[in-house]
Amino acid sequence: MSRSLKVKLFISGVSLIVLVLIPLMKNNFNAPVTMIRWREVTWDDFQGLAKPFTAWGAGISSTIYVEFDSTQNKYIGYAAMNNQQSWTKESSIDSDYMLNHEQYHFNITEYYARILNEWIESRKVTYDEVQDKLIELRVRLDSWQYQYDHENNHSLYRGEQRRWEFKIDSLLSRFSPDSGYVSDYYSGGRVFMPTRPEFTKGTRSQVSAYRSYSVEKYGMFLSMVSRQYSGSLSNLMGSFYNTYKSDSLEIKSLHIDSTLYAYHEIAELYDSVEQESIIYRWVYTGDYLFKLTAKYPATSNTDGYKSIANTFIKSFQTIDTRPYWTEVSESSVDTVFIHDVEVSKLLENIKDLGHCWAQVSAAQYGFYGKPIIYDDGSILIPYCNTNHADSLVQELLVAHNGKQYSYDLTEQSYLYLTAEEVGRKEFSIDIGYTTSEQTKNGCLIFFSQSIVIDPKAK
Amino acid sequence: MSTTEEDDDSAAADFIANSLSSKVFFRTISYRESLTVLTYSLLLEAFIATLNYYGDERFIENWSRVIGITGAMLIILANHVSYRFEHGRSNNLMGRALFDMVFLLCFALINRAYLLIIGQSNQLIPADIGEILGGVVVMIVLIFALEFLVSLLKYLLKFLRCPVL
Repeated sequence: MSRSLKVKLFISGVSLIVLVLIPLMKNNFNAPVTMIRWREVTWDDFQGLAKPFTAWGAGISSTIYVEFDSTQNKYIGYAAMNNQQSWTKESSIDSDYMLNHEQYHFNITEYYARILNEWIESRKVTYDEVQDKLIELRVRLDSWQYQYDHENNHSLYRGEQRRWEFKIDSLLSRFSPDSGYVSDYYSGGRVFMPTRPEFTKGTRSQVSAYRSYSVEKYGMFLSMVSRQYSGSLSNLMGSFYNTYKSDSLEIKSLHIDSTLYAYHEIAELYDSVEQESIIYRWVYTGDYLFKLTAKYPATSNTDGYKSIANTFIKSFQTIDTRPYWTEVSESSVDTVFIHDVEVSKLLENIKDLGHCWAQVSAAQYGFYGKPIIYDDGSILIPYCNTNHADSLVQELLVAHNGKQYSYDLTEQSYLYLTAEEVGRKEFSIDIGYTTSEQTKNGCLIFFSQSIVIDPKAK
Repeated sequence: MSTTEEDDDSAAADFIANSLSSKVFFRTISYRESLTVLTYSLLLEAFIATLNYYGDERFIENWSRVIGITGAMLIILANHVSYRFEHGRSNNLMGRALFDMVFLLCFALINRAYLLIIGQSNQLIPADIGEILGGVVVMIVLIFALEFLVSLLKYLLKFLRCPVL
């Protein structure tokens, strides 16, 4: 056998071995495959063989597929990952950050599956059309997956990684009912939060009821707090200044602009203790004070974090809540109609015990929306109880026109007054509670706050 | 015109005629050329498959085009080196161009068959004939352009006393 023939046979043999090995290794030597539909993944879902000599810690293989649903008689696209083509190194399985990076590869795939379904829903499609669309979307999907890895350098640029997470969540939230916006229908504040926020409510320093939505994600803290505030503007500005001063923060920039709102301020700060940047946006509408906060690590490359913070802070707006409450009042049964609530059990108890009761002003106990005055003269007041420290609450009460009514705690409650109950003059309605133990001159105390309503002020 | 100038013109005409003649190539073609084409087509396919497999590695991601084109060029040149060693003389321009065409055709078939076998494609030959014809025309133009450059390279190697092509 000539030397050149030997060389050729050697090259051919090596080439064939490479060509056979690559698909075998990609598919973990044809181990049984499980196609995992879009969900939160764990390292257990990565069953594939790690690439030899690779510098990376993990890899995910996901794409979009189409199936025909015979019950609905239509094509449905879905995102799925191949567990045998997805791999991880032993050294990576403790890294939640790396798993999160792979999860967002899967989330990009899910986004394209939703685009496909949106396209299918919008027209009557044939098999060939669906296949063509699938090919087109897979090309776009691959391009995006590449761009995702390229821009955050396979998650090594943390800020960029977070920016992409926010971006992908934002795109996915396009398919949710509120398109990623969180609205507080009591205060009318609305802000973009692409992931479900944590909600809390309460009373701050016994004087200011608040409702808060916050997210701790992307290595950041984002929140919108609505406060019931009717104090003076100068006090408000003083409190902002004290906040910045007392926290020993360095003010990087301060921008005050009150053309759109009664007061509007954006402050950029640096916290040298926590090593983080903070952006505050304060908006005062006359009835409510909104505080938007974005905190992020003050690392060397903050562009990605800053981009998220700016998108969040700038997305704030106030909305007209009237259509929402009108719809709720027309459809919901889980509400408070003070005109047809039964006479309080408490009052019966008081009668039995021969007690009286005394009304005293109390801290803000509830958060109420701007009263909605209808053309027929009736009034709807969005109202929710906020948490407070008193664990001895016996009864929740509403007092109006010399009558008292009890009500239950509900999440989306409101008070409704018919035109007859309202009258034409300004009046107040008292909302509060009694406790089982506290008394004043032998009478049970009705701790209450007053809501003043002017029926003419539409 | 002097005799020397006439001789020079005649030599140049002979050189061009020899370069564009395919007679020698067809006269000496044998199973060795088939094996060469098959071997280097497999090598190119393996090279591309490896490049794709490691496509997300940082170095390859940044240099994939350069690596791919350089690798393909070297394999094409390896065909010609192999021809020279087996025939004891280098191929002429037309011979190399024809050889390249056969090589690329063989590579295209191996590539399609491979993709079909591993399930990345569902047809051996793409359905779009227009696309194929367009591709063939572009390929022929590129081959002649490349082989013209190879001719220049050959003269350079001759000048450096390393005539491997």
